[in-house]
Amino acid sequence: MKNEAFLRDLEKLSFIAKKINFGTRIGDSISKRRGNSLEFVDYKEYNPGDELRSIDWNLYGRVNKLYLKVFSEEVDLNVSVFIDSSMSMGGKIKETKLLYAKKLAAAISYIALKSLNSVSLFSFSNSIENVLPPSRKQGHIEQVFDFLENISSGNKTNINESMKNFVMRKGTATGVAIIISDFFSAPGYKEGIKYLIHKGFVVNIIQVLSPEDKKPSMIGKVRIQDIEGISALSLNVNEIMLRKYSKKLNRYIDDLNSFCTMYNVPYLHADTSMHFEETVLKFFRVQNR
Amino acid sequence: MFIDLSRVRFETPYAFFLLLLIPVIIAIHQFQRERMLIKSSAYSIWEEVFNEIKPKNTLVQMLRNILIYLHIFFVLFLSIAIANPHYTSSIPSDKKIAILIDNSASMSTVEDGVTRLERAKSAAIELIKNGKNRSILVSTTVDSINGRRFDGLFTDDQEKITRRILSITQSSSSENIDKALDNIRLVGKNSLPIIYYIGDGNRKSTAKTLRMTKNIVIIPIGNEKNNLGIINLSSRFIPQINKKREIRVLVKNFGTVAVSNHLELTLGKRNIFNRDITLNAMKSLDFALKLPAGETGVLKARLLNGDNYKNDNTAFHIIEPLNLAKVTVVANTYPRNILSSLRIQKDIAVDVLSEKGFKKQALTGELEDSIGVFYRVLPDYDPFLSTVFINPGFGRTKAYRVKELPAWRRQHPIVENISFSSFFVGNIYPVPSTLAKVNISPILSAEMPLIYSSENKGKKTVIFTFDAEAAGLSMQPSFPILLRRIIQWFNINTVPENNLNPGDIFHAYLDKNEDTAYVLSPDSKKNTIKLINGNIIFAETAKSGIYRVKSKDKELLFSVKNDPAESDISPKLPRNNLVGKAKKWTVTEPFVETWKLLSACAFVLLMCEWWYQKKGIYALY
Repeated sequence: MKNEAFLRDLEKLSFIAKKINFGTRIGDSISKRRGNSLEFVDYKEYNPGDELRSIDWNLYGRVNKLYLKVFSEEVDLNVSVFIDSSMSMGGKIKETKLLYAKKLAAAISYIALKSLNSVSLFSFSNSIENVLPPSRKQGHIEQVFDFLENISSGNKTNINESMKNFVMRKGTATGVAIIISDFFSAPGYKEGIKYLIHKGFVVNIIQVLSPEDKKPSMIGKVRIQDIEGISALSLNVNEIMLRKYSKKLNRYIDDLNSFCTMYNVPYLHADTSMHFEETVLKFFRVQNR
Repeated sequence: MFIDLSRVRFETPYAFFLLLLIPVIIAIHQFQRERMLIKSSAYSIWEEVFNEIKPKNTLVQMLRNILIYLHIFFVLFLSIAIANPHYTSSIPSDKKIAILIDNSASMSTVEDGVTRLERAKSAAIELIKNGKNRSILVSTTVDSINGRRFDGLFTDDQEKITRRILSITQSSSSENIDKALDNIRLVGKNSLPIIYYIGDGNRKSTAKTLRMTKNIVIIPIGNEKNNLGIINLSSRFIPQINKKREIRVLVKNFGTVAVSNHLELTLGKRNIFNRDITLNAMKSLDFALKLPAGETGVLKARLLNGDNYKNDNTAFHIIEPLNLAKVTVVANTYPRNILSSLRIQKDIAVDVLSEKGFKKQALTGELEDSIGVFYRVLPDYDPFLSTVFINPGFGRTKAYRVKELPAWRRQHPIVENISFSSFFVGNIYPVPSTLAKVNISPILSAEMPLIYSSENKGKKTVIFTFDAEAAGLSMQPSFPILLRRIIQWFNINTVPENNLNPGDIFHAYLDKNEDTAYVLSPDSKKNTIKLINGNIIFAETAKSGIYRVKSKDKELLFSVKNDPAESDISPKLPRNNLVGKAKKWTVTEPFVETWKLLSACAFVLLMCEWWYQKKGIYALY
């Protein structure tokens, strides 16, 4: 991943970092916590021990009572990228969905860091497996690369369980959550996304499918086995069946899309045959819509 | 249609071993089910597709495996078809009955002191007793009753039928079952009555025909294992061909199962052959032994069952030497020309044309001196022999075509040491009058008019000719009788004088001064006989009864017995230790050729399979 060509591609994308935001404008990300920013939020009665410099003396002159000016605390935007590392994302082919997802994650992380946001990465399958803690340092991109390099496919997909597992973690900072997955999750995915939304995340969905997923090349008598399990089907695949498959898959994608629309979640459908750069640009276009 | 399966029988139940193919077929199908394994991440989608196409109907689900069912059914039908099922049932009582008695040569085999034919007759009479008020026809497999296979039409006169059965005589020929059945059909006005076949059914073709015939009840006679017999034992010594004496033995298995036995040959007191032999069904063992020419004695061949040497199974006796000339059989397609065409001349030479070109060849002299040379071309000389050139001495060479006889005509069916060659000579020359001094006296026979015998310096020669291609002479029961007559003529001292068996030669001295005498047969036929030095030799003794021989001054009487059991036409002598009993009766009626129907079913199945493959229906998984 850390080859020159890829890094050059990332460089090209860096120009969009200045124009882009992740659902909310940078600087508009205001924490509910009271802080030291310039933005006034409220007044608070003075209690002994409070900082004297925060006392609004003008108000004291009018009402003869000590009040403190309360400002909101301006915090950095946290971008959490979730990469599906289940078996379904892997495979024997060179350009796997996992590799594609890694490239997307790297690009998004790169752009986020360039935009002075903190970036954290998570790989998940049936639960959160690996975590890269948030950081906004420019040098963090190296750790991002290393983290992504070490991700390998395994286990079954369970988005619901993984996201539940994530939101239950202590000290989880909200922000933007980007889930990169094929969303072939037998237990479903809706609950997991809802967990994130309710937690206060601005969720983004990137569904990555391979051309083989979209248009299988198999024909004739085959035994199709679940890549994540032992279940198998003996089928004599013909044109009729392929048409049916295509129809079912489209319906599945539409379901995901509808769900995202309903919850105002930006959704992007990606194909591993597309250049990742193009997908990244598309992603940010969806963001700014 | 209700089918009683308990009455279904199979001709070849071994065919059911084919069913062992079914597990193989299942294994092959299972093997074929091993498909290419594809791991898919979109398994849930495929699962939805599968559930959608999955048939709810069990029949449709079964149809998906139609190929394996088709293959299994195909093997099943095929095995049943090859097993050749037939439907047996009891005989309806309102039908006519034809009794077909096998009187072929093999029926002369003696078991427990009784010939198979006698046993068959007893079985037939027994059958008639049980079949009262039935219309019955009696027929034989070989011409028997007054030269016919059957006499009269269907009748219910039991006495008459019994008489007919008793009058059946032994034949020395092989049966022709097809012809016999045709005759019965003819008499039955093309409607086949129930036929009781009583015989040993020794020939394979007979067994097959019987199996395939409708409405037939087979009453087997005789033990198949007793069908091994010595057909021929002969000795010949032709110095021109070989300096050694040739002993030829032919053992044949008449039956339909393989038989083993021990063969022993003795000449005088010397054992010349001692070996175990095994012969398959209908096979024969033909071999020759060569012995020094001077060795004489009684030649005996014996078949011994196992180690039981006490049983004297002598099959044939030949007393050597006859010290006479040999019998020559010349088969000619134009028998009436043979005498005139034989140009009696010495030193005749033959150019034989074969694939290798012409070859000068001296012909074998069969006679000596005064009668000249009787020539013949032995086919053994050259297998490619097709044309013979003869130079009779007049400076002209004539080409004669050798006509090949069909294989079955070349060998006598019973007396197998007699082989027929065919040599066609077209030119006709009158017999020179100088031959008158040689005594060539014809032995006249209604069936065999061209028989010539001669005697020269104490050596006798018999030439008899017939059309080996067209004439049925060699198939006649009288043929071996004739041969016996010839042998007796050679060795005239052995001829009995006044108590003869049919076919025996009557020999007596009448009067030296008489030239002729006549013999009055029992059928009042008068035969004038030329006397030889006062001796009368008379061979027309086929009819039983009293014969009257009259010359000028003398009258003799001699009798001929009519006991078929003592007739010497049997190919084999009785074998005392043989045991044979009638087996259980097999009733086959009607023969339903279900195998054809089943084969058709199998074919339809194959067509379905083809259609299935072509259309690709239900090719969903």
